[in-house]
Amino acid sequence: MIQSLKILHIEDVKSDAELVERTLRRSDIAFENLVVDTKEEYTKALHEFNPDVILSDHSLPSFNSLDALQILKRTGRNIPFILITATMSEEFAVNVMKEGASDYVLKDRLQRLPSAVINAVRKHQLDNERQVYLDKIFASEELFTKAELLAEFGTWRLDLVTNITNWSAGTYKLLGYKQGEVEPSFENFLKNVHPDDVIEVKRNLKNAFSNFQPASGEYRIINKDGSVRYLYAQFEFELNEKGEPAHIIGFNQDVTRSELAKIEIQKNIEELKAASDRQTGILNAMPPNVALLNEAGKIVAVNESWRKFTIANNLDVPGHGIDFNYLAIFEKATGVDASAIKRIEKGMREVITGARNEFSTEYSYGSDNKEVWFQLIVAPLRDKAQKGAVVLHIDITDRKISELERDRMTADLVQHNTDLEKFAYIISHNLRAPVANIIGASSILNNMEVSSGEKEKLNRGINTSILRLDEIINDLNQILQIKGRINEIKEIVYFSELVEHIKISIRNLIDKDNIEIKYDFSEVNDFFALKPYLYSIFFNLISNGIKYRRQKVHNVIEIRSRLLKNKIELTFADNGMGIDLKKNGDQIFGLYKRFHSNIEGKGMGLFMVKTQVDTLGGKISIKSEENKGTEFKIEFKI
Amino acid sequence: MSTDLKYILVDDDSFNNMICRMILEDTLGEVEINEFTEPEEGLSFIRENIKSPAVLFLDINMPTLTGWEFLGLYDKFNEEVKRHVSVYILSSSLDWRDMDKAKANKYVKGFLSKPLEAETVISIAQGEFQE
Repeated sequence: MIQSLKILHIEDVKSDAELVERTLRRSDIAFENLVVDTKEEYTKALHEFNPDVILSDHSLPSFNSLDALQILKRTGRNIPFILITATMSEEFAVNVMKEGASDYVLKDRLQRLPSAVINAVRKHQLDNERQVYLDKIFASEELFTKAELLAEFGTWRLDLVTNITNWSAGTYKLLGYKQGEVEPSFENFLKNVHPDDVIEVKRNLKNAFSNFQPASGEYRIINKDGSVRYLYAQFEFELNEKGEPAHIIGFNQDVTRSELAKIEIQKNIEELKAASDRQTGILNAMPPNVALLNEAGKIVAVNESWRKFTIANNLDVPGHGIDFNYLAIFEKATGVDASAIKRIEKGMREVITGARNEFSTEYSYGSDNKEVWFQLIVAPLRDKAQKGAVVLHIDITDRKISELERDRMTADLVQHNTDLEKFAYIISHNLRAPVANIIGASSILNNMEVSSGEKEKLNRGINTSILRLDEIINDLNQILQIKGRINEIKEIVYFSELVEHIKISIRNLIDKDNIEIKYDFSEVNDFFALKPYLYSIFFNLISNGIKYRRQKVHNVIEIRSRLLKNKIELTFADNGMGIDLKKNGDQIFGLYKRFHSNIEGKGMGLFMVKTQVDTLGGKISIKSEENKGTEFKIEFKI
Repeated sequence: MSTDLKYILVDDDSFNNMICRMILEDTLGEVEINEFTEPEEGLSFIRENIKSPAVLFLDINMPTLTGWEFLGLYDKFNEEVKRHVSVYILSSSLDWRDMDKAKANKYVKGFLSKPLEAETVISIAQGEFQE
């Protein structure tokens, strides 16, 4: 039911206006009426009267119905406009309707006016309602599209009956098209799918058609600019009332960002792993044993050399010591002395706590009858994540052996030099003694009155001194020859042969003093050496035993050889007069050292023996007790 | 010239002792000279018999007792004895180490190189010896 209508009537002829009003009054329409006949009044009424419907005569003195329509349009308001005119050509009517009039009524047929007004108002109301409805739809669609574009998703729908596909604005964009650029179709979709993913996409779809179950998957789209985007797709079937598939509804989500992030993370992980592999490779390629310690001194990583070392040395620790305290393992390694462990412990703690920058020490490690030397370096490990230390063990055995060898050679050289100095001193002293005697005696002979007896004594003394000089020079020559013969050819020398030979050469001495010479060379009878030296050694030691025999006892000289681990040991024992070693021990092998004034000798024998033993690379020692006997022991390395 | 000085010779080389004796006698005339080729005998002679000023000519290199060992034993003697004895090392050595060692010994008045010379004998007898 239409409420009371406000009718604005444009009419300059009063009778016509009254006629229209009367016509309307006769109908059921409730209304109030305003009649205007100028443009100004009309315009004012549009705003103030706010009509529901406008009735207009065509021709007025100041304007016409077309002007009125124009004015109405300019206000932007949509009010039904009905033209009431006397006569009208068909063409004009069409024209006015085109301009926006709702209807027209001829003056001679005014009885149609009420229904025309009602229709126009109703139609107008319906139009208005539809417009509001449409506006709402448009607004929600716009919102949806906005959401799609912002959230980077899109929907699509395929009608399986008509085979018509619809793509949402978001779908167009996701598939790499402008909205409406192409017909929505599977073919056009496939055009932009990454070639590597096409087969997979087709297969997924085919699978889905076999059971009409929802499906999902990921694929890539190549944009026109060549860039690639990753889409996550889901779709499902809509069934009709018979349970048959009617539509497919699909949903695509752009997951490029998370996908790229995933790829980036994967790449980072791979790079980290590669870097870590590289570092492990470097560590493993290093010859030193390397262990990384944490702040507590626990081993957190080791290299290949370390692993090999623990195996080779039977260090019975699981995992090659990882997770074990370094020092605990170190202490377990038998053959490392306690002071080294203490030293290393201190240095290591200082490096880990930052008290010092680096610690380095050398230590030896006795394993399976061979000594190994290591240099140990502790350097701080200070990355952001953890504090600790890197421990390196470098095998320096070769260097150490050559160092020790060098030290030994140096000591030998120093000893040799001291010997030479002593030798020079003794020689000069002993040469000087007879010379001084000759000078003194000849000075007396020249300057003093002496008796013939004294003169003869002096001459004899001079003569003895000259012989003594000659003797010393011969000794000197002999000694120098020993030292110079070191490069002569060695041969196998049999001890028993040497002794038998010497026994024959000094038979008269042996027989005279009833000396017994016994020997036992059952353990070892031969030695590869310079035979003249060995002969001289045996000769001098045997003669020594005879010379310093004891009166009133049965003198026995016993010679014996023993074969030890890596050396030959020879002993020459006698039961002769012996010597007080406390007093003379350090001089026993000295040149021209004599300890018995009543026994002939010039102090050459033992010096010669010592020199020859030294030259053969051996060692000689003596044990003796006065009135008991003497034992010389010689050791030669083999 | 002091004639009451006694002379003691300790050297295992008897020829050197003979040369010394002849030089001493020739230079100083009649003097008491006691020769020893065994240093041990020389030591006991000094300990037992020296009660007046004496001059000792002592060799270094001797087989049973070196001159230095000799002085080590002498050190333990009564001060009364040692007060009388002027010790001179008489050695064939020309080595500076021996000379230094002699200088460092509180009993040694001088280091003489063999052979003993008349001038040295005179300066010692007159108490004017200087190295």
